Amino acid sequence: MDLLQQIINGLTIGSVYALVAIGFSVVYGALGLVNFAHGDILMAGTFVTYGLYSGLHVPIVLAAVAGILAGIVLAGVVEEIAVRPVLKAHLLIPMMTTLGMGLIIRNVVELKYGSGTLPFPSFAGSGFYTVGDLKIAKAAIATLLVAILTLVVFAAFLRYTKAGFAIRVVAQDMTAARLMGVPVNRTIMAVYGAGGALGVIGGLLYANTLEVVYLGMGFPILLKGFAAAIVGGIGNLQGALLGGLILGILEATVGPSAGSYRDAIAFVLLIAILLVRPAGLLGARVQERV
Amino acid sequence: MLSFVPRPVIRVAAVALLVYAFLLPNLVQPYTIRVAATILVFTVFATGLNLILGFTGLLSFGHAAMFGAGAYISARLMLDTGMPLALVILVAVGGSAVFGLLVGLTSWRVGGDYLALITLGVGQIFYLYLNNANEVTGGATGLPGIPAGTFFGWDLSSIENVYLFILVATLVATGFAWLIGRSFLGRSFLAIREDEVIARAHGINVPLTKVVVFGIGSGIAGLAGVLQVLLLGFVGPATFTVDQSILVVEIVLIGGMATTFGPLLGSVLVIGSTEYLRSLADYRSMIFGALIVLILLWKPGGLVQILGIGDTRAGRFRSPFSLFRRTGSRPAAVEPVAEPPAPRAVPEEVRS
Repeated sequence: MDLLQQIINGLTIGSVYALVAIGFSVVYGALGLVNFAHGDILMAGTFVTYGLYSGLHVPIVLAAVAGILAGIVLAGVVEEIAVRPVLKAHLLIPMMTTLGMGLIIRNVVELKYGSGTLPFPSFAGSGFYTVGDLKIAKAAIATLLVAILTLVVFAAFLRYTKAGFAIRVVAQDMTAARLMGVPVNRTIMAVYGAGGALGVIGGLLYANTLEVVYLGMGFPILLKGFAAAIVGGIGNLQGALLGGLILGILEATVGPSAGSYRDAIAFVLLIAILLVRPAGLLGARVQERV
Repeated sequence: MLSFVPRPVIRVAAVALLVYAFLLPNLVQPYTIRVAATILVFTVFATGLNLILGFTGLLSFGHAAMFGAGAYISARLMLDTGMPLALVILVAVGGSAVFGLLVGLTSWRVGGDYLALITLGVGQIFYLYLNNANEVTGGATGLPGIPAGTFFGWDLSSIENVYLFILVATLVATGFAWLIGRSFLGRSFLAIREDEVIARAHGINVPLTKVVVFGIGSGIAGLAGVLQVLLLGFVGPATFTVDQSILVVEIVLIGGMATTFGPLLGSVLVIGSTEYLRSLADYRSMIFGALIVLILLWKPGGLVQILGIGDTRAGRFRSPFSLFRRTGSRPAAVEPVAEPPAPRAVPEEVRS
């Protein structure tokens, strides 16, 4: 029963990682670029929600929507300023410019809220449901539900809407997409916006689970989301989901015995996967184009 | 910016600056010497990363781990054994180079972006290790009271002498990196950065070269670690965080990737402004972030390119920034279809 309990905890945090991983993967899949500002965007969006909810007592749903919108806008701004102009330059350059944008975003949040850890009231309320011997926190259930709902909505968005179709087309072949009249620039912006939104939702759920927000929160979430994305096969959404859940469960079950090296689990898993199966668990073999 | 100044004048100014650097201990306060020494330590540190990031285009976000490896190895040796300093430096540099080779080995099968994550992970694990392996690293308190060394009879107990030693080491490291940059190896680095497939087609052993550059770059960062131990007489985990790794990436990007003097200029600006512009401390990472974005958008050669002190004559090796664009500047013979470039290999599709 103890193991089952830990697996449930792992699924909760794993679904958060999965959201971040998918936000990350969708950008990587479309452009082949790592968005190093992703962690700072999701942190900033979470802080917007925190500010509205705790400071101005805006209802949580509205505050969360505002935070997600802030994430979309920020991601769009990062794309517009730092990625679009150098899209044709060496790959290193757009990645490093997103790093710079991340530094700016983080500094702005620091000026407003400082670098301390602030309490984030869980929006599901505290308390447990008891099922047999299992104690499941209300926050965990809310997290799981929101994460699953978001994933389903996003998958439907990619599959059934025109914008989602455009994203898949651009990911497959940007040049051909342009020739077929797909508005590539707008689609890239949509990709970044979607990534930002998923990231902020992940950030909010993370904050909801741990009941804190802090300046550095973007970094561990980004790292684990990144790791989850790669473990599952980057650019592949089911893979990102799988990777996130595996990572979460591993952290919850192996974590307690790893003691202070708990944060290292993600990397050990990651390095092992990369050495054995570089494309990730569900990733297609990456073709080199000359 | 300085392109209107005749080259001989710049050369004379450079020599004058070097002489001034050697005379500095006699001219200024100890605090200034300390700041100058810190700038030089970071110059060496960034020189190591510049080979990896600037020349070869590999993302390393865990370079503080290499820096830390050098620092902790030398600190341990100086505390526990009576080894002469020269030997300590050799072991520490060798140790961090081997560490770097091991990390670089992970690049054998995977591409550059994954490497960013692996190095971040290595940096994080290293930091956890420093904090938790109390018997070896002293844990969170670190290792205080490391005795000052003597380098072949050169007593390094006073700050002036330590500064001069660091200055000499910086010159050696910079000169070494310059030599590498001009060698076949350095050209292979640039070729790999521009296009791995083409580099391989020209007979460069791409995976091996990547591992080698990791080893060299880490060894140089390890040297910086030793120098920092000499300067501070103390090591603690706080100096080897991920933030430090990002800081040194900032230095390389701001100074100018794949340039000889970029690390120096970058660390003068980044470290110097940290020390002297404390009123701006709150806005620091915003300023550097904006600087990185602006530099990469318009002058990817960083401060070196802005000041115009790099060698940009056509046909010479030292003009990597014309190569930095994927389109337009390559000779037509190499790339008959100039527009548009094929996107890099991406997974077949984003499946829903």
